[in-house]
Amino acid sequence: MKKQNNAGFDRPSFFQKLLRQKMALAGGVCILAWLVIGVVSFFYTPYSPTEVAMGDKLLAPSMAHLMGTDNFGRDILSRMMCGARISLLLGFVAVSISLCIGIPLGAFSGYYQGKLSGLIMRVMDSLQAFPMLILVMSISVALGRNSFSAMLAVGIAGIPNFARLMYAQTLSVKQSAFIEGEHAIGLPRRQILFRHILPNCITPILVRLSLSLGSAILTISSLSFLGIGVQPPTPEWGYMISEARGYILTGEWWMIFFPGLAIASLVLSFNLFGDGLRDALDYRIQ
Amino acid sequence: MSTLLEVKHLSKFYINKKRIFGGTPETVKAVNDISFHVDEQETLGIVGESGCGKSTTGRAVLRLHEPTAGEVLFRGTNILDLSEDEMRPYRQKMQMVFQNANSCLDPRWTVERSLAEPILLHNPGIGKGELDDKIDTIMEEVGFSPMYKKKYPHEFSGGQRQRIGIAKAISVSPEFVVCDEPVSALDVSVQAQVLNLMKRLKEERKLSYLFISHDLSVIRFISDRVGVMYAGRIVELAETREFFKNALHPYSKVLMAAVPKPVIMEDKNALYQGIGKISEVSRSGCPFATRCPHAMDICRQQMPEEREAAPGHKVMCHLY
Ligand SMILES: Nc1ncnc2c1ncn2[C@@H]1O[C@H](COP(=O)(O)OP(=O)(O)O)[C@@H](O)[C@H]1O
Ligand SMILES: [Mg+2]
Repeated sequence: MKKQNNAGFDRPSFFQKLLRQKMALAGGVCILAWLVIGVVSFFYTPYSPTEVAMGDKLLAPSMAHLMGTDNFGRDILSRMMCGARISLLLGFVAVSISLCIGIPLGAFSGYYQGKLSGLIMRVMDSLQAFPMLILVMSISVALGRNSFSAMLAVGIAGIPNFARLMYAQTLSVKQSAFIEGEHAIGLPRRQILFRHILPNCITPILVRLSLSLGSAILTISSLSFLGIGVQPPTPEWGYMISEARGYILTGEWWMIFFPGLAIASLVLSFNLFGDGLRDALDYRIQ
Repeated sequence: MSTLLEVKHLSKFYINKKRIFGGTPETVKAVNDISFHVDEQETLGIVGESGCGKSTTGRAVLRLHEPTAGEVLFRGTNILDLSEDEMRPYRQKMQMVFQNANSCLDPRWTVERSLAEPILLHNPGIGKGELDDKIDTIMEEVGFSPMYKKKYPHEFSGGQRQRIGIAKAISVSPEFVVCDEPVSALDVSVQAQVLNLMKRLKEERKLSYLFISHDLSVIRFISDRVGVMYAGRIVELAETREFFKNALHPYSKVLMAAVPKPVIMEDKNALYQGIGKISEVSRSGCPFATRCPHAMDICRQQMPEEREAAPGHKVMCHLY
């Protein structure tokens, strides 16, 4: 009965809309797959990811070693699996740092515009004036060459992204016309902020979150590639690529192919998913 | 009939800071010492050209923009003295319909949620069933089948959305509604529909309106009395019939002239110079003096007092 009443007024839910985005769905599935692989790697890997077996070095992919072995005879599949959890973990933590600091800074500056907010936003501007990788490298080197400082550096460098986005959102929503209507009905300011302003800021933040995860993972891998980030023997995709550089011309393609593919697939998935999220969250698109 | 709202010497000045290139801050006298009243179940129309301070008046009366000076008495209580919390019961009694209904509807919320919000705010104890009934009744009252409440604002046309805006305003059973150009954004066929709705609601719910428009024909249709604004001041105030028969102020006559537009266009620069700015002219004399065909020396030197030309017909002009 109720269903009949709503004939023509049913609209797809958020998940239905997301499912309709084929590319976003593919991205989501791929991210999920890597997450599962990362979790599994805590309990099971075919071989030890760090144990050196010089006798088995540089074996091509076979039934015993599905992705072959590297120059120290370590199983690449096992190292890939551990790499997934490391990349995802570092990426998530780094982006959480940017998010947890950037969002409040941006929301505050946008809602209460004053001298302090001006100062905060200028600091964000100057941080953003540096090329991302240079900034991350300097912070990371200053903090010490390890995975923790690489993660922290990527997190810090990502703060302006979120702060600026949140700032712009808060400003525009605060000044959008319907907020005046909420004042007119007598809704207290605090409730206007939490019920109307903040929820209207969320969509672009979620989208940026997904895109940022991709780029954070890429940056951390780049750092490891350059020898600043995750330190050996910890298996990390970027570092694996770095080690494989010397073997491209000699024909051991599997050493660089699989970690390269992994990074590309994960970063691409986050980007696709972010784009799909944007459309699924847009209340105007049916 | 008794007075519902009385506005005394209300002013609203905006200070425009010119920050980048320095310079002195400029005071815009958007509303400058105006007084009027609205009786119970009466519609006072405010008419004037764009930028003369109509919207500012409406917002200042509801304290959406805090007035610079003056008093706003609602049933004898000066609401400008009240704190935000003390003001809340008055917010229920004094509502606003905006020019664009996007101004009162959260784009992410269904109409149902938007209508429920003010009702819940002003009737905290209301039950779910009673709330639903109330929303359905209000939807029907503005001409929708209740199932439309599940829709989002962007799923309505302009005229429909304006009716939703009206529904939100009346949902808390106000006594006084400021209508700021509620039909100006609509095309003419829809205008009539919305105006008729507003007129009907006024009768049924015994509302009083402060109805703002730049369109004399709309004002004539809806108002019991008319106030003419020019450059932040009310220059003439009269019963609608008396006004349209016997407008006195030279500016009212310009407004009413058959083809006022070319005249206004020609003088636009002069007009905008006159508006608000503390130029010599508006500081000491009548703001309309620079455009007035009957301007005398005294007009440029001295602001005319309010005069009662006929019973209930007030005009601010040295000619009378
Ligand atoms: N928030 C504001 N800050 C500064 N000046 C304003 C503001 N709002 C309105 N004004 C100025 O006040 C004058 C009257 O504006 P308004 O009341 O919107 O006119 P109307 O509604 O009659 O078109 C205009 O000159 C306008 O520029
Ligand atoms: Mg206006």
